[in-house]
Amino acid sequence: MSAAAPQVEAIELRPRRRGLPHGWRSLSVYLFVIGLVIFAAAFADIVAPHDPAQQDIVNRLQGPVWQTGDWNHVFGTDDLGRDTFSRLIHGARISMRVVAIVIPAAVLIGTLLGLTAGWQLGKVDRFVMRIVDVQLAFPGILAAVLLAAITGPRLSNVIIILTIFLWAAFARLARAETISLRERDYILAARTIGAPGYRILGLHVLPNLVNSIIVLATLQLATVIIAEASLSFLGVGAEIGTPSWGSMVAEGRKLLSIKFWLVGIPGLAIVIVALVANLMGDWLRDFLDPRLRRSR
Amino acid sequence: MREHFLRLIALRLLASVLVLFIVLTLVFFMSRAIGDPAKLLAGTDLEATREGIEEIREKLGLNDPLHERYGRFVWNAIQLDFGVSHRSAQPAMEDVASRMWSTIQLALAALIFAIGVGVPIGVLAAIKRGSAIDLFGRFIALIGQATPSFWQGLMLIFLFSVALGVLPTGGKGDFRHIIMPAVTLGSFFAAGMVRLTRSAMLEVLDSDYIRTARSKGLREFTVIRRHALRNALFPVITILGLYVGDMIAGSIIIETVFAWPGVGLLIWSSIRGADFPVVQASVVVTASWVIIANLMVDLSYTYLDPRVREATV
Repeated sequence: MSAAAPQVEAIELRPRRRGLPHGWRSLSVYLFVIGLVIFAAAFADIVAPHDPAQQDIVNRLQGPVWQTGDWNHVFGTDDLGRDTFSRLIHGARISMRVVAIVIPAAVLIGTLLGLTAGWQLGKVDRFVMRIVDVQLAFPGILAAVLLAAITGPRLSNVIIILTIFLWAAFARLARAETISLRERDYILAARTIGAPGYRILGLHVLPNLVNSIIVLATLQLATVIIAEASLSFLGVGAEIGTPSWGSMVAEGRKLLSIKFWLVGIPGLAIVIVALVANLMGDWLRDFLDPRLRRSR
Repeated sequence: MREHFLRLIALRLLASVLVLFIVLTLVFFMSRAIGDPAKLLAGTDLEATREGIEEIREKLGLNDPLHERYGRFVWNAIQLDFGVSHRSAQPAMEDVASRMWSTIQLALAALIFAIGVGVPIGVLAAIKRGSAIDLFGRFIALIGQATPSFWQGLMLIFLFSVALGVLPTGGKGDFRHIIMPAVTLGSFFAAGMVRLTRSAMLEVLDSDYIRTARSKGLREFTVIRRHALRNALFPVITILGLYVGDMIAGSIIIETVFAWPGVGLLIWSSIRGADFPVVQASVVVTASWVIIANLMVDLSYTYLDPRVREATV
């Protein structure tokens, strides 16, 4: 047995990673920021110092604390005297609600259709891919504006439209992976012993997809947050009067020249959350799915 | 090989026509759902009697069965006839056509900005990997992809129009009017360009033929320009076609922020004004642009590099 010893040593020459994986500290920062936003969204009623809809004409258009020194309204008030900080916290709730429905729905629909298309090929595949083509050719924002014209601005419209326009990415991913796997030996073996399609897909194909799906879903977080904000900014997103980050920017727009912060603060909130979500997606991709690393 | 390629073109063309047909159908039913055009046309004044509305319906053919109206819509759409705009009383297609040039100008200017800024930063970042410029490039790319364009537009307006007073806040006029809309629309794509160029360059620089070129004793500049850049730019250029859809979607937001009189602003205002013919014409036109762009991308992938196509299917 001693003859084998040098070989083992040669393998051990590669430096073993000790303790936490590289970049763990940055991940904890991302998780902290995202966690904070989710916490604020979940407990908005308790965390927010004021009622987001409460008007206070006497204290309207107050600057943020670094201009006024008034900690009662940390980020100042808008033209109706509503507290910007409280509206920001309640706005997080809207963003998070959209994300929490759209992403799982898109993952579920996209993955199921992608797996089916890649497995069945032929007519089913062509049909699914044609739907993908149609929506690629039909800008989602047009659909949102049309739908809002029919029903008036509604958050449920935003959720439906974003789901419709996001599932395709997951469908493409699942389909491509299924096609590349379906002729592998272990899949062929499973087919030979008569395993039904859903069992093969669920037991042998899906596990290979999970990492890529998690990465893609994280990278879509920022897309969803920015899309909701953009639609609310255009007035076709959240209901009128709701404190969404996008509609806060839209409301502050008319006062841009005199009260910069009314536009600056909600916009910065979007940028920070989107940035952290993207950084976390990049981190997860490097960690879970090294094959995608080169597209960095 | 040639025959195979022609067959492929025919198939892709057919698929594109089918997609366009589905878009037409969607547009038809969606705009029907917005409301009764006859009532909207008649207005809210008391003179809009029941007979008046009925008369308009008869004139517009709204009383015909649905399939007849649908057939007529498709047949007219093929001839680029979407009816007359309720607001301008001109053929809807003419309204759209007169706005098209503004949107194309904006998109081109944004594209030039995206390439002009994104590609050089991406190339430098790849050549000097890990350096300050690499970090800067990645920072720009990250920020660019996390910033909503409507907010960026407003921030630019605040900085250059309100604070510095050097650029107009919106509208169309001389050269200065297009700077901010183009930069705002272009930055998101510039961010993508940086990432894409950088990764394509890194991959190419790692290849054998670059080592060969270097070992021949070529100057580094020649190696980069003649050997690396040419190969790295190929995927970058072809991916541009995929940006067309995003650009059109983006132009709706940008045009409303900067009051840029393009198709995006027209779509926005005609939906608000329930001007169906114009809504239909502009949605079909923009969708066609995207379909044509996708078709070209698809064909160029297949023609130029089958490997890329396989990778993107």
